[in-house]
Amino acid sequence: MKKEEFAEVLGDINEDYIKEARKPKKNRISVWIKWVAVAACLAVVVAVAVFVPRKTTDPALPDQDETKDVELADSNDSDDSQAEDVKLADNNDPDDTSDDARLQEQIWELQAGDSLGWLVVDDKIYVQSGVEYRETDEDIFLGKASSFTGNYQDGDGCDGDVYAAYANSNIIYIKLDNGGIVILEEKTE
Amino acid sequence: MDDAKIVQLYWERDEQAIPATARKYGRYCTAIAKNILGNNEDAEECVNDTYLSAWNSMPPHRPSVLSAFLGKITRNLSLNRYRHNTADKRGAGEATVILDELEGLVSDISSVEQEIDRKELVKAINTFLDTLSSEKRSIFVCRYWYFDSISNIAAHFGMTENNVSVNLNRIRLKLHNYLLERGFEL
Repeated sequence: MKKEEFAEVLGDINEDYIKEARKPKKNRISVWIKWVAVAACLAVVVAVAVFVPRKTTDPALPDQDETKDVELADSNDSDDSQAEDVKLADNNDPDDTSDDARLQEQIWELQAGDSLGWLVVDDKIYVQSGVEYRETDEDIFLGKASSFTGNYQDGDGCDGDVYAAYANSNIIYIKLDNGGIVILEEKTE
Repeated sequence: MDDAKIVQLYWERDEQAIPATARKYGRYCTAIAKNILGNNEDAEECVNDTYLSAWNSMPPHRPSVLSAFLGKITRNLSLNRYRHNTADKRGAGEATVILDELEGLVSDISSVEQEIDRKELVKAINTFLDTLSSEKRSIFVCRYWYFDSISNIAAHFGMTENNVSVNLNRIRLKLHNYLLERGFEL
C-alpha cells in the first residue's frame, strides 16, 4: 500500500476519535474540590470588592496597584488540584463600588443558576451556549477584552483558565490555557 | 445553530445551510485544508468544495457527527489537491512530512496489486486506537487525521515537541506490529 492510500484509509477511522481529538484537554478533579475552590475564589472576589475601595483611604493597607489588574485566588496554591482561577482584570474606576457590587451580584446569581461556564466582560454576562473546537486563530484575540472576570467549567468536567477573551456583539470567544476555544453567548433575561 | 438544525437545512434544500455551515465549521475545515496544503488559496477552494460536496451528499446522508463528516470531506479533497499539486513539485504544507512518517508503515506497493480489505483494515485500526489512552489516541489523530504540526500538538497537550515525536514514533511502531500480527501486510 502506498503512504497516500494509507492516509486515505486513516480518514475513515471512528468519528468519535476525530471529535475527541479536538476537545480541550480535561483537568479532572473531584467535584467537591472544584466547588470548594470556586467558593473560595468567589469569597476572595467579594472580599476584594469590599476592601479595595477602602484602600485609598486606609493608610494601613498596601498601595493600589497602578495597573488596576488584580489576579486573584489561584486555587492551585491551596491544594494540589488544577482548579480554575478566577481572574479579575478590571479597568473600571476602583472607587466605583456600585459597579463592583453589581458585578458581584451578577456573579452570585450565576453561581446559583445552572450555568457552569460564564464570563463577565464589560458588565455583560456571557454564558455557555455552545462549544466549537478548532485551530487556535490568534487573530481572534488580537482585540481581546481588557476587562474580564470569570471561569470556564462545563458540565462534562472540562475546565481551564481563561487567559484571553474577545467580545463581538453578543458573542464572546474565550481561549483556555489548554488551547480550547469556547464560545459564550450574552445572557438574556 | 446546532448541528441537527444545520443538517435539517440541507435536507430541506435550504441554501442557508451553506452560510450556517461556513459560520460554524468554516475555520475548522480551513485549518485542516491549510495543514495539508500549506497555502490559503488552495485551502479556501477545498473548503468551498466541501460545502458543495456536503450539499450533494445531504440527503441521503444524515451525519451523526457533523464536524467529522465535514472534516473528512475537506481532508479527502485536500489530499487529492495535494497529490495534484505535488505531481510537479513538493507541497508546502505539513502533508509531505506526515506522509513520510507513514511511509514506515507501508510497503509503497500500490494496493491494486495487494488484496487488502479496506473495511477490515479500518476496523483493525479502530480496534488498535481503542487500546490507546485517550491522550495518545488524540495525539495520533491530530497528527494523521488533522495533519497538525508537532508544535501545535505539543502546545495543545502541554508536552514538549520531542515528547510528541517520541509518542508518535511509538504509536506508529505499535500500529505496524498490530496490523502485521493480524495479517495486514501493507
